[in-house]
Amino acid sequence: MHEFSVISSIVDLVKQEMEKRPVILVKEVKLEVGELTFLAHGALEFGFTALVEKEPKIANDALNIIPVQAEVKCKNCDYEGPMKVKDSESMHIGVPIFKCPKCEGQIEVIKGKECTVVNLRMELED
Amino acid sequence: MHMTCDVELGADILAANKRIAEDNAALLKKHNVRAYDFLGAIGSGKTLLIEKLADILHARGLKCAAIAGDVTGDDDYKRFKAHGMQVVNVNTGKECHLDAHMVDHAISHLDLENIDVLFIENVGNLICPADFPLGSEKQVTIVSVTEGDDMVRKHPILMGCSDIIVVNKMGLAEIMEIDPEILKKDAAAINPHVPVIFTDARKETGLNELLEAFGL
Repeated sequence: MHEFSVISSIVDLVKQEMEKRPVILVKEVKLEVGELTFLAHGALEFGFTALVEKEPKIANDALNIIPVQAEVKCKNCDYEGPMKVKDSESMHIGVPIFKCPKCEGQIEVIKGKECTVVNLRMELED
Repeated sequence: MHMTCDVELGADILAANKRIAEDNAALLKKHNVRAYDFLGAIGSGKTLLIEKLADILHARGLKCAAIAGDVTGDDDYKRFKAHGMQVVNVNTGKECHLDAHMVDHAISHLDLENIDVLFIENVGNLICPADFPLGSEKQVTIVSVTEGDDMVRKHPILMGCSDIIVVNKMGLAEIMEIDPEILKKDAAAINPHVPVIFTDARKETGLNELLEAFGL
């Protein structure tokens, strides 16, 4: 349950940005969360709602989580792209396979471990 | 009518931790300290494994130190201390993992000039620590046979991102009716490039092989 400390940092960041302008309402906080992080989206949303409950200038439903697909770079061949994912009907979440989908070589993760506030949409006073 | 504005931020919340981890790694490298981060469930045998590895390294003339990460208490701290190691106890309180800042603070209490190998024992948890690199040379994940033969495939991302997987408490495999080869096979299916080392810390088996995988 480390989502709460992560979402606290995000809310702090939003507040810092609010201080710089005459904000009426923060309508959207667009957050990209890599699929290789261990951040549960539901827990992030729950923490966000709890933290902004007493913040009238941040909409309760402002958090918009965009999942980011993992990408890898092969250390052996020139492959750069998505990972191979093992899927089955009974599994809710596919299992990423940590080898090059092309040559089975060792890979380096280049995308999918981030948690980035990409954009804030705010309604401002004229 | 009010104006709507978009502010592009591109602020990675986990990046601050990564930056401190890189600083930790640079500081350790500057002092020629090799650091290893031990992840594993509560009771997987992380502490005993570190104690036994430290004894071997001490006998080889290398000086070991440890950062003991625990939610509370000083049990592990005292155990490491008894092996003649420099030790810093880090109680995380309510946090379920160590982060790079805590490790940075802990390192500042160590005499790095008198350390060859630093063991960082993370809080017993197989999920949260994975988002917080600490600046170690290798992330070592410990599973024990007592946790069941499905332990590796139940944590594919953590196992896939690990540098070394240790299957500990091998002496109990037969009693537990566990086939450790299943753990090895599952690890190979997720990441064929991660070495899987079988150990039994109590019986002192597989330890030299593990140190070899550490590059020591």
